[in-house]
Amino acid sequence: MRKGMTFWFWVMMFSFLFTAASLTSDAQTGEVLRVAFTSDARSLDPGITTRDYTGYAVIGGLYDFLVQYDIKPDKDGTFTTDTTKVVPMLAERWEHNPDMSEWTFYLRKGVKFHSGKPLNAQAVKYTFARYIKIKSAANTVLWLAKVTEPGIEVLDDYTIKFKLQGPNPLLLDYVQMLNLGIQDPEAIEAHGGVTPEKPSDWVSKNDVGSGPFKLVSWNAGVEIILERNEDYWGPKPKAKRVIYKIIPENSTREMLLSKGELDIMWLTPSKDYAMLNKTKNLKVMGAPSINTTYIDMNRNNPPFDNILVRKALCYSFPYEAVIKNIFYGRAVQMTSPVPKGAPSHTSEYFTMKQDLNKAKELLKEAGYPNGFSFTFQLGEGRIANSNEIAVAWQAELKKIGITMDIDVLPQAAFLEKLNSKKIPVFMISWTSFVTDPFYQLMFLLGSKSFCNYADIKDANLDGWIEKAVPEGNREKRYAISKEIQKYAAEQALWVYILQPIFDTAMNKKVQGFCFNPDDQFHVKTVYLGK
Amino acid sequence: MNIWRYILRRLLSTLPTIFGALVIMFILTRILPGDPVLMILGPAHASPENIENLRQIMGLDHSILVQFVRYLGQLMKGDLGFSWHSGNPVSQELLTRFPATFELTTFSLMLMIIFGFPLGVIAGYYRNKTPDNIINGMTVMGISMPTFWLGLLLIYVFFFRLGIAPPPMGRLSSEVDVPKVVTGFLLLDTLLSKNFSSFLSALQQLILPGITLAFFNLAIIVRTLKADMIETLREDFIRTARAMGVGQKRILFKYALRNALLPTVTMLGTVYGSLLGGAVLTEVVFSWPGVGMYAVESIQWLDYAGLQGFIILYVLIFTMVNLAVDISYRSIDPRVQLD
Repeated sequence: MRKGMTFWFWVMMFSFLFTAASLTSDAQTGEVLRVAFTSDARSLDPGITTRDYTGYAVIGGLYDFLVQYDIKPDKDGTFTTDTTKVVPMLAERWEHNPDMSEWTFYLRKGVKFHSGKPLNAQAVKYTFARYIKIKSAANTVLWLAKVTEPGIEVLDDYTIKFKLQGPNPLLLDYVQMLNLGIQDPEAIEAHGGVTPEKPSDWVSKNDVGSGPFKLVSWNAGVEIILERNEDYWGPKPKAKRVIYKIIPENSTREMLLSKGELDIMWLTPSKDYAMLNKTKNLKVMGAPSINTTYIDMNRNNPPFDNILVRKALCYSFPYEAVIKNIFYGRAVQMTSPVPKGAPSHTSEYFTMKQDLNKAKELLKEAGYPNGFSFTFQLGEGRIANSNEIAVAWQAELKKIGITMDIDVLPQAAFLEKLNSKKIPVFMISWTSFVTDPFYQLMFLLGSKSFCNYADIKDANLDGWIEKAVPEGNREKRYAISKEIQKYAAEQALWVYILQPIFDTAMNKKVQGFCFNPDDQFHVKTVYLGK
Repeated sequence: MNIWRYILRRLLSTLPTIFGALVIMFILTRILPGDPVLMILGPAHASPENIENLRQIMGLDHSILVQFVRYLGQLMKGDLGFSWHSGNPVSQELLTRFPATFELTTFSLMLMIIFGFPLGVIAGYYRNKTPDNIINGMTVMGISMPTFWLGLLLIYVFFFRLGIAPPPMGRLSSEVDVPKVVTGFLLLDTLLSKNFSSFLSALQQLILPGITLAFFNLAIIVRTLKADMIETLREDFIRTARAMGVGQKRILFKYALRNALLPTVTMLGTVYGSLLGGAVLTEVVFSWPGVGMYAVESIQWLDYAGLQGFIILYVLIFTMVNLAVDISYRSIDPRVQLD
């Protein structure tokens, strides 16, 4: 009896395993696109979504925005987002007063939410008012954009006016951001309304947009399924169905991709670029990101107040080795606080090369002939290869007598410390959703900014930033930006590490992939070809 | 003693344990460095206004004591709180994720029993001979191979190379229909909806992660059982049975195994309990949406309510498993009294 059972168990087991192959072979229907993400979305509500590739990838499909950046076709069938050109989306046209403190948007007629209700000026006002009330990600965006609730005026059903708190020449760049998708007021009111007393509500799990895709289902931790909106007012996507699969483990993702069980693998590590690119049915698309990874030094902490010490640290960093050996060449040198790819960026002030002798001399001059010791803090798992970068730098510093301890903190602890602005030396990675130089500079170098984690209080920088932010003339803005870039190099504000090349491995059949400098997945143009 | 009264008493006795675990958890999570508010808002959106507002919403502006009393008040109403990192109520998260872990763990427990018991008996019987050495080698390999690596290896061989295992993408192939959720256990739900191809798919998805989990823990089971088999086989009643001409198989699997089983069952209970708390690495490798992954995410995101809910679940799991082990003692060995 027992023997018989064991025997049958084996027979069953093998037959199941073998039938598996026949079950999973006919997946290539062409109209379905399967994209692997590393973690589940935390929210689908643009108002609260932050640092969430999966959530943003869904939001970009479900929602429409007042305006959008132009998407330009490349020769090979891919697209590239042109962040210097804003084109109509929900707003057909717009105008502003001379100092750019009042903006009027004329909305497209006939746009419908997925519920079938019309999208009008009242909906825009409702959405922005909701975002301000729930005080999360979108609230910060609107606050930076100088939009206030009383300043939003509905002129008629399809005209809306924003009376800003001051001039803002970048308003268009703000309202194209993924955090400001326009929502369906009636749907929200039917499901609890605006709930500022909750950290997230019904909206964060549901579809209240008007975008080119509709939400079909969200199976937590497994997949999110989107379906083409057949009633979409604009150009319809070619993919009929898009499935975002949650596959946490990198090796598993790569095997699934190679076997054709997935079409796109989001977040492809640099170390696997060559291997995946050589795989027969795969291609790896890479585009320079405007992400900047750098080392920041808090000048309130001696010896980092000493410009010579900061310069010595800059000269000690193994720039080429990090890009070549740790990133396998899938990164470019960062050369300025304004990233490559952003307007007004220049590399002309970056003359830095690793030079340990010079670093030693500078240390001597600064009064530290025997070096010193400090702790380098970084957050865990957020910046690609951050630990390896730290270790590589540590070895170089040792050669000039500086002892560096590496302290890798869990993200929650790291953020708390960052926010206190008390960490002496730390590594940070920043991606601006708006490529205008002053979006980034104001955040990172302005003394009033809550993201100026090195607590830089510099009257020169503040003066430039205050002058440039409301400046409507692009040439003037960019001239000031250049001055700041020069000053940053002279002052050795940061140790510039790199700007990664954002690689995405995908099946060779994938067409219409869109490169986006903000490193988010663009679902509208991509599809699986024959 | 009446068995039901016994069970009730045991369940009631977990309340202090849960309370104690919660107190420790509550203090620990809040002493640990890190600020959940900053995690939710993200660096670029953590304006002072947003921070202050969210801290109030989450009740973090109150002292630990006030927070704890409030949480207990919620618990009394059966509310486990809100898991902000996933945006769902904690109870909902646990209810959807625990069945995934339970199904996987139970499947691998069955594998452990099916393979572990015969192997343990054989190893005990052939002590220091070839079969024992082979089994010994296998178990050493199992326990020293990281589950993470073993999982990847199995995927590589059976899915990537041979192409006979289904893609390691969760609990069900995307080709088949998802059954209506009745119990949350896919094997049951698919059968209830009489969907045989979905049932098959669910079973196929279980095989590789099931083996991964079982292989690692098999060593513990086999070794415990082997030690007790050796002891038992020296007992007088075995010699008597042999002298009376009882068949070898009957002696080994009926008399000896049953007498040697108690410590192994205890061990199985412990293994089962800890696996039910989430086999994190296996879940990660096989994209298994289980409770382990949720617990780890909750730790990473400092999701207090999620962690607390998980702790309560964990204490309950261990209580239930221990209870089941104790009750099973009685059927294995009638001399055992429950009290």
